[in-house]
Amino acid sequence: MKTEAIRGHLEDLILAVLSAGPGHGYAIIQALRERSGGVLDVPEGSLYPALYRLERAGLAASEWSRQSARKRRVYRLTQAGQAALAEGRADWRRMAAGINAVLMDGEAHA
Amino acid sequence: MPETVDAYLDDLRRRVPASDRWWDRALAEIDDHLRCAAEADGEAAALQRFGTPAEVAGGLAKEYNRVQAAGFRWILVGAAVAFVVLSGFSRNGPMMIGSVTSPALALVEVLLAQFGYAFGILALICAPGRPLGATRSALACVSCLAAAVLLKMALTPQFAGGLPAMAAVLALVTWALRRRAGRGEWLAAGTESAWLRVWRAHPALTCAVVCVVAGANAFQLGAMRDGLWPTLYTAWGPLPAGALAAAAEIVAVVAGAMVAPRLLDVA
Repeated sequence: MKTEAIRGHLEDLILAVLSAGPGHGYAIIQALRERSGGVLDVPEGSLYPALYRLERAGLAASEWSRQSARKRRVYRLTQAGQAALAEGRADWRRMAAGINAVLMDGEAHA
Repeated sequence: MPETVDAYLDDLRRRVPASDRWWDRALAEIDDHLRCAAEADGEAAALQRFGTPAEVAGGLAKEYNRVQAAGFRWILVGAAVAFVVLSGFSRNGPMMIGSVTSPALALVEVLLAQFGYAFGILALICAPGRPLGATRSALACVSCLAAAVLLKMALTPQFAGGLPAMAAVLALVTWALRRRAGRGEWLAAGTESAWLRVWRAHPALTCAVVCVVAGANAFQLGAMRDGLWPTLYTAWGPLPAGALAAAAEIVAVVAGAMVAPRLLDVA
């Protein structure tokens, strides 16, 4: 999928991944790729600005973890993040329905 | 694109401040990420997927700027409150420069304005070739000099005499920008003027620096008239006094340009 198309939804996608449980940056990217069947191939460097935005907005929280050999920052969803995710899902459903109606309608007429 | 994770991280480190907690954290996370990815898929694939160091530094710098800007607003508020409170205790009201009861305050005001002024201009010169915020330059300096502007702008209605000084300083900065463009280090030589490029990339910063130029000169003229050199001002008139102010500003800019690169991590 085009990077531009993903970018507008990256934060919602990250919230969705974190709703399944806490994770560090690389694990979040892996989950995005696996759960989308490889369709969502996000430029990995763009993940961290998005994570910092979520944290600044209070939608995600993070702390250092020493469970692995390396120092690692683990992110988790906050309560505000859960509410934002629910709102993001509702927005997406509306938008997808609208886009779908137009695109599929065009296909039916073709 | 660097070929190994270590080379990539070195490249990225060169683009960001040397000792800044926010960036240290980002770099530690990127380090962990890249090594995880390299273990899974090899270094080349990991680096390819992550993006170039320039892209990554640029993306992070935007977020860093937002964080800095939040602090910057509080500095402005603090400076304004401090000005009002300190003015209330000064015998000369807001014109503290002339007050014999507060020489220390007067000194701080002079240093703040000149220091911030010179550093802010240098920040503007440095900003175009590097992601804004990826050095200590831009917002850190603007914070300092905007505090000076807030303190000084209200002080000095005697602004007209400062116009030659402002013109001289703007000419100096434009010359410095063009020199950089000529050397091709920070500004790519092109058809657009350096100022236009800076304006398009960083309009808020450009506005801030221009305000500082105006503010610092207004302050200096005000100080000349009402405090430090009243005899000179009344004897010579505003324009010669403005020329003297210009000379003082140029000294401040040059001094700042010599010292600032080390402090701003742009050397």
